[in-house]
Amino acid sequence: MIVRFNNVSILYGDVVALDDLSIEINGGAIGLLGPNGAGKTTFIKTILGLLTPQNGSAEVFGMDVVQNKMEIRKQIGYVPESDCYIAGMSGVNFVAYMGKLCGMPNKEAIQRAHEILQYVGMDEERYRTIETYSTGMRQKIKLAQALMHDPELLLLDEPTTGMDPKGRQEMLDLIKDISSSKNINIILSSHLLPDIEYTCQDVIVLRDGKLVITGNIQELKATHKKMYEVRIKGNGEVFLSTLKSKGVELWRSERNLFRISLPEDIGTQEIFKIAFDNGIQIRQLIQTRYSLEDVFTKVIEE
Amino acid sequence: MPIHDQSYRHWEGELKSHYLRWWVITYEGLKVILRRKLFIILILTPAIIQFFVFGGLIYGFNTFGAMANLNQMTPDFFFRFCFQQTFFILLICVFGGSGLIANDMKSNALQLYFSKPLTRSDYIIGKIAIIMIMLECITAVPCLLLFIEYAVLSQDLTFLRENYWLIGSIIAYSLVLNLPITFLTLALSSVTKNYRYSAIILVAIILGSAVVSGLLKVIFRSSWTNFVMYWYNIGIIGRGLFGMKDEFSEWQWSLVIMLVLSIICFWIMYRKIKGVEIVK
Repeated sequence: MIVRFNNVSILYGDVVALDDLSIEINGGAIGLLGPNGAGKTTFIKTILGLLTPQNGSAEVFGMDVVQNKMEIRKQIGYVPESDCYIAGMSGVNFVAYMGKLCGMPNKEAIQRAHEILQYVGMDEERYRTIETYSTGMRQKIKLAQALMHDPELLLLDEPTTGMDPKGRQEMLDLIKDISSSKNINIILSSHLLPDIEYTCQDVIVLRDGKLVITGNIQELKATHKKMYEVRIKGNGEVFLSTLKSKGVELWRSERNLFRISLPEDIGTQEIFKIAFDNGIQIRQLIQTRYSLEDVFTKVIEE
Repeated sequence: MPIHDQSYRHWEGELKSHYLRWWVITYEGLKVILRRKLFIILILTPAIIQFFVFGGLIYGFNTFGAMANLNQMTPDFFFRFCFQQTFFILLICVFGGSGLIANDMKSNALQLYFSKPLTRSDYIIGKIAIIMIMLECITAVPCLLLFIEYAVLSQDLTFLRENYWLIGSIIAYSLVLNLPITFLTLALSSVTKNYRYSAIILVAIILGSAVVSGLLKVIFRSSWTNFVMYWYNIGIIGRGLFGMKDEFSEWQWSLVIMLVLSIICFWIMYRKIKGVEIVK
């Protein structure tokens, strides 16, 4: 168990950021999803001990976040959402400095800073001052500083914000490599569902500071098996209203293209029968999978 | 298997104890400031030249014995050296200190600092030490060296025997000179993200206090209005510490004023420095 929240509430004045949140995270790569103001960043900052719960208790690696924040931070790397750096420092000095702040000896910090910067793909740029870096480079340097002291848990808050597609893919590959090959647990907060789907096994969805759903991404997607894409020819209004009356959920993609979700008691034969009865041709019927976006949209709407 | 794996490698070293974590901030902060050549040439060098001038005076007095006004080496000599450094103290605070916290706030660095095993006290002590080390290097350190120079060049131990207490006075006065202005500089630096504003406000407070004092003196016709003046207070505390009890006998009041100012500044600093900025 790396993180355990027991009925944690955090309030900013009258605004409830986390509302009686109880959750347990066992490790691996976990995606943190939720609309703006859902409490994702508050959740991360509580893990770091930067915020104190008004109610409940939070533990990281079995240690209380209020009483043992220094010990906890030794084992955590944090990549903040906003642009942050130390003015006037070169990339390599900045990363080494962050290592030294964690308590790494001077020589080892400098040596490891070079190694880490090479790992994140910053070779020549490491000697330039951070002010001259592009957004993508700044994201990478934030990741590098978080990895300096070899943390057991990496907290990433929107790590691909502002990156071009190539840089974003490189960053996602790095995150995937860190979690899968390097045995470092990650909690990745992002608005970009494909990023979470690409890098994480599990997902936590928050809304208004409350836990909406948590679980393995593949399992969550598999719970909605009977999803089809249907293309028809003809006036489909009666056909569609008949489907709706039988409990079929449907979403129109194009004029004659729909996605439908069938209830348990209805099979594809029934669809063909209804189409035949209404004089509609079915040109295409393909089983599709729920994407994480579908799951996310569904739970948020509920 | 490659000869040397350049991929990510786990680090198996041991983290150092937390005891001197603030020194990392101080050391790196000093490195960043002292990399600025103009700062060294225009501010630190002239401040140190003054030390050589006073050192030359002591040497001249001891070697030639002809400088009439230095016939008796008095505590006033060391006080004057320290007090004449106030101009450079202000310059160091303006050009070296005003950005110390403001720049961190501007670049959102506080959340990086406090995501590490670092307390707010570590951060504040580290920043205070950056300014204090620079200021002590132009006040206490050269003044003590001047004292040692005079003691070494003296023919006998009379000077040392009669004036050993000056060592304490020099150290205490350097703290009085440097600590309140350090707190003031960092407090102002912590209330804005723009170091220029904090520098301008610092100069306005230090120099403006003399103007306000002058105006109040015209209105109230009382010598108590002098206590509004920053350097006046610093000056009379110095005279008190160096045993020069002339017309400035109320140095304890000035000490209280500086103490209150320092406490207020520290309180502001402590409140403003946070790992999380909450926008309500």
